[in-house]
Amino acid sequence: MDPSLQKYEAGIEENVKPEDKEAYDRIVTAGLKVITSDEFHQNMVESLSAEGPLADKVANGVARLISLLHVSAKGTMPVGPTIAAAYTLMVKAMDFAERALGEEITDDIIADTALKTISVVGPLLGITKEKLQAAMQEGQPEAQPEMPAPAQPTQPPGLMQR
Amino acid sequence: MPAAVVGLALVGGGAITAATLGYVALGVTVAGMVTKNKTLMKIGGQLGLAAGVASIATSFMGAGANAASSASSAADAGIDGISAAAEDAANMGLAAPSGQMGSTAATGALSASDLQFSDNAINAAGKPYVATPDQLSKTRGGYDPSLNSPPPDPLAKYDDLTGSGIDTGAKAAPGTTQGVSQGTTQGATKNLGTSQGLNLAPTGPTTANDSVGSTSTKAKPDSDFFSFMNKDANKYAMVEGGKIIAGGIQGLAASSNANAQLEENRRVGDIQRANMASVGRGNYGLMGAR
Repeated sequence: MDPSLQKYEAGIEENVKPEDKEAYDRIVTAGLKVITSDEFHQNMVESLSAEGPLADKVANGVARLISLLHVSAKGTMPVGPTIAAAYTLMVKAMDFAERALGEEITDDIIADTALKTISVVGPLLGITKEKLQAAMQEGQPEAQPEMPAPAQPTQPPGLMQR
Repeated sequence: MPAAVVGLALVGGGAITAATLGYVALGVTVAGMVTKNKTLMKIGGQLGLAAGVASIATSFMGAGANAASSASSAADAGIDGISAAAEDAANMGLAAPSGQMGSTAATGALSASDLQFSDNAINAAGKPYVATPDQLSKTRGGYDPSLNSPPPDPLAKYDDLTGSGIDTGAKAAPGTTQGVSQGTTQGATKNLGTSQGLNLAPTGPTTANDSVGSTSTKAKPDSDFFSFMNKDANKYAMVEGGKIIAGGIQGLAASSNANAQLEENRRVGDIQRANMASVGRGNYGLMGAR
């Protein structure tokens, strides 16, 4: 697998909340099961082999996969883990495109695909631009333009340092 | 919104919870960090900060305790690059779907237990999807309570608290799996959206962005998804987000050993998933090959 894809997938999995991990694993597993099924697999090959930017093809394919899973689960899939799983399934699709179809995977393509994936999958899950904007405005702290920046900003150690 | 998505909104109303926002931010931020893409890092930083970035920053990005210089430059870049980020996003093209990725029969690959989730596991960001888009269009107000009406969400009263980081979707389900196997089996046998949903995806060029309102036959990007993060965005958020991100970059670079362990864990997870999914020939030779 492309090293950047590996890092990306690891970064996603590492940050799935423990309480969401089971749901995330099940969604990813179900997604893999579908895309490796005889019926879906050929469609995936054809879709990824079609003309157009890989990012678009992968993003749209992941969106359809998520919609399929979501409908199959009758809407019981929790949204958060579904989003994380979408990112992971995106990696799987890109890896497949690279290995089986000879598509070139670059950092730019990964970045592009990630952005497009959430742009397509998000609305599918009710995450519209407007809601996103509202959530951000609600979540952001009050503007503090006059706040001086600390001379030596420190941060608590993360998992990587423990 | 891409036409591929129109009519497929699976969950509807409700505000986006901090947890959901965090997951959105996660994918964008990690992509930015891994690929050194400043645009994504800026977007992710803003999203993460709004989501209560500690949940992301301290786990993935928090390793950069000595990121002062990088933080400064990243913060500067964040402010200067806000409009650039929006511009980049607006310039991205999102082609119309080039093929129908999926089929009615695809759900046959899923067993009844593959996607069993308790109703209570549904994230409060959206209510359960109760009907296919086609069904919705035939019902009043887009919602027919007779269609698999979900039970009242006992967590709904806590919706107002989600902004403070409470993930109602993550609460433990009280032990029921009702509606789960129904979801899979009925969805497949009664064709509740399985084929409809997939077939709704267009086969030709479409106008992909209703907000843009373009009439071009070429699909317009939906990548103005984050375009609201324009120059008017919260400066403080950008500065702080930039610092956090910058720390993350150093942390990422300095944690190769940890990443190696993560990679091993991920590989083992892949193998387990492959086994669970009985993915024999379809794992592209990846799982366990290393």
